[in-house]
Amino acid sequence: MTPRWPPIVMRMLNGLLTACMLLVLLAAVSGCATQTPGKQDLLKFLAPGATTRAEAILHLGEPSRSYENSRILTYRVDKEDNGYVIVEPVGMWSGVRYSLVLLFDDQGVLQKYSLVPVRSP
Amino acid sequence: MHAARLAMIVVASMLLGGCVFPVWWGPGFYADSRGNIGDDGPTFIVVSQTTRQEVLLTLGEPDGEAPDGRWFSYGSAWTKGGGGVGVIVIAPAPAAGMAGGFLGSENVVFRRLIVRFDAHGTVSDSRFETQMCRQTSSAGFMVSGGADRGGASQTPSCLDIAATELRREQQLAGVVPSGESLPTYAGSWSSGWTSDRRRFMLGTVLITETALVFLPPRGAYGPLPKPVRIPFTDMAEVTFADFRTITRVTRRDGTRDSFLFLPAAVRDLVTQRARRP
Repeated sequence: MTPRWPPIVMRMLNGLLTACMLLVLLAAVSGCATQTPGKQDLLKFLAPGATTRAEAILHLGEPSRSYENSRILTYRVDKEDNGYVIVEPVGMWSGVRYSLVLLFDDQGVLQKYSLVPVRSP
Repeated sequence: MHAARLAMIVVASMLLGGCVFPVWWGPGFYADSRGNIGDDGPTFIVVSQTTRQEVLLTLGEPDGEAPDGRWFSYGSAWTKGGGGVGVIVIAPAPAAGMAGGFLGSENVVFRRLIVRFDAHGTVSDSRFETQMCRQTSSAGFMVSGGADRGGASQTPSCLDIAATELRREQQLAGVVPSGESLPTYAGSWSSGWTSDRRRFMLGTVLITETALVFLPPRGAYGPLPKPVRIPFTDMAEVTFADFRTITRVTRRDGTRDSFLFLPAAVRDLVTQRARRP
């Protein structure tokens, strides 16, 4: 099991990380920027009544959880500058902004979906 | 005690010519906490009406859940802000090293929602709890001669937002048959088991009336890992090796499992090493 640093310590380390990120930002401004992997249209294919479970998995990959014999699938989603990105289900909610919940009918066709903001507004 | 430790750090650092600096932070959710269960719990849940689907569509993936989906747990941790003091000491050559430490505290509001469902997937019970407690943390590190070491600790939270006890109940229900008394022995030390060289799992060993049981470690998030249960009637031979740190159980069908028992300090060292690339 991965040991978890206490949140107080994490905040302190975050302070150091912020300072380091400022340095990285300076480097990026001087011509060394990186591209974030987000996609604006990542979730646009989701159409209730049309999208199948197989299509959802092909687009989004392995779900973080599944319920009721895979009638409900969930994904962890973050939002970068360039759009949405699927996050691996590791630990709690650090680096995750949304929980995407997909509800399918008995034929495996999407009934409805919900992009739930899990972090504070 | 807290003030004494603080004073000791400051004085020791000044004597060593180190740098002492204050650290503080404002209110907000913990970095890994969810923030969508509200101050007073969700109001949309109605017992005998709300379904599992509605709970998922409104609150999202739960933090903890029963293997059969009979309960979900959602938790959050919100700090009111806090502060502390940090110390960094840099030793010049020939020692050429750096050491540091941190001591701080904060008031944290923990919230937990447990939703139980009946066999039809309808909410049968919903319980929202909240508690505030003062959390104290400390950490230290040392870098010298290419080696680094460090550690951190925090007072345990006053509300178990991961619903560990529910997970443990569920695990026990799965390994102790109904009618059988609770385990006659529960190892408090760290233990592990290996079926082959690719698998290693830390956990707790239980001896029940009828079986040897290995439970996965407490506090693991996500879906509940499955315990390993070996009935005594299946065991043909038990042998020991390596000064009894390894126990080998041979079943009647000829298959074997090797169990590795380690003191906690050694366990921590092994897992730290294993984590390094």
